[in-house]
Amino acid sequence: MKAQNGKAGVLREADAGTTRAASSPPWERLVAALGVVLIVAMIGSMVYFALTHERSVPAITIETEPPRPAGQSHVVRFRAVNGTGTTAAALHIRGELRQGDTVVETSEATLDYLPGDSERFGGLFFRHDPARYELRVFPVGYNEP
Amino acid sequence: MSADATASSTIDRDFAVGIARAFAGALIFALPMLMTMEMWQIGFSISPWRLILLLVVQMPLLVGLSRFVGFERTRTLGEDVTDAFVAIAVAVLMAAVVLFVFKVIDTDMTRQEVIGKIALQSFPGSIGALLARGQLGQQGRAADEDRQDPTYPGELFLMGVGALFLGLNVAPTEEMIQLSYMMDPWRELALVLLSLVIMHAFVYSIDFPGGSEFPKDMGFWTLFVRFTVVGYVVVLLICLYLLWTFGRTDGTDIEDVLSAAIVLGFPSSVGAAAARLIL
Repeated sequence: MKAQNGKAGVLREADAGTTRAASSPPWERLVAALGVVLIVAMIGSMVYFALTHERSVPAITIETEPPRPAGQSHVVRFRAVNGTGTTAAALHIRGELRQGDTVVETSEATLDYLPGDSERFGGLFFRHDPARYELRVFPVGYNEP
Repeated sequence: MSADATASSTIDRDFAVGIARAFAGALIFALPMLMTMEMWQIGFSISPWRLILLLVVQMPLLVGLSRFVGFERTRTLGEDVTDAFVAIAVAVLMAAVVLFVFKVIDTDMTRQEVIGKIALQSFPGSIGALLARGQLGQQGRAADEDRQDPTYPGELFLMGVGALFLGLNVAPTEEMIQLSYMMDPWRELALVLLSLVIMHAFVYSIDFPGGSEFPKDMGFWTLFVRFTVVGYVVVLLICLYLLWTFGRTDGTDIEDVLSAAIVLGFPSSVGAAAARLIL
């Protein structure tokens, strides 16, 4: 192996350009080519994201599922969807059980991160049965990461 | 003809073993970061341009690394470039598989999130892949003696990679900022001195440079300034770059940025000074 390298080294000095390409085994060149493809694809995608991405504010919509009993309380599972490309960190979500104008019970949950154009799930616990009240679930605030 | 076939199958086998080592190296080097929450979050909250810059910087870095510590006695630029891209391919695949198993990436996530997370992890992973092929592939010290003596800039380059080796593990974490807030200026000054002392102890005691002892005629102060002080400056610059890449410098005043760099500079300087040992 070493002798081979030594010999190749001499050849390379004579004819650098062409011998270099031929010096690596074909498998290695194949994997290297895969590496080139991968990094070009990653850089290309990131450039695309950078150019299409506009820094705005996150727009979050929340959909709730029907309440389910959970131990001594009830849980309302929700899906938070970020419709923009802007990430919301420490997204605070509040749920209220209302009867007319009075708030019977509130519950809160925090999503660590809700990336742009993504969805995350969570749940809110209520001691009262949410099915018997008007349920409102809405985002309260977030951090910019 | 048959001799040829035997030779090529040996090379294929060597290559397969090399790839396996590269995967192992990528995993060893990147695991702490694959399992760091901040790295996942930075993967999609990072400014795309900073990630692009990191990916671009990664390529010459790997080529340079292959030059100095690479495996198989690479001699030509072409071979170093091949090595670099093999390392990238290995790192990307490793990161994709591990992150998917961890459910850090999933099929219902956006492309930006998935690609960002993988791309960020490919940086440490590819360094690990390249180092492992160099390190595990050689038979003992005999191969080491064979390697090129780095020039002075080469030596500084290796120190920089050593700084990345330890610094990358902690650079993305909240603790860097936390520590810099907790420490008062005197403690930070003490940490700078401690970093310099530890660095110099390594520089002085480790065979240096290039496997031989440092030149006998080089006095204490010359050695201190040439390697330790300049090395520490290189370390701090790398720390600043990492902090900036990970968004830790945004909206932070220069004093706090410097404090964070000093904190991050501590592990990084140990890594830089021990580069000869760990790379």
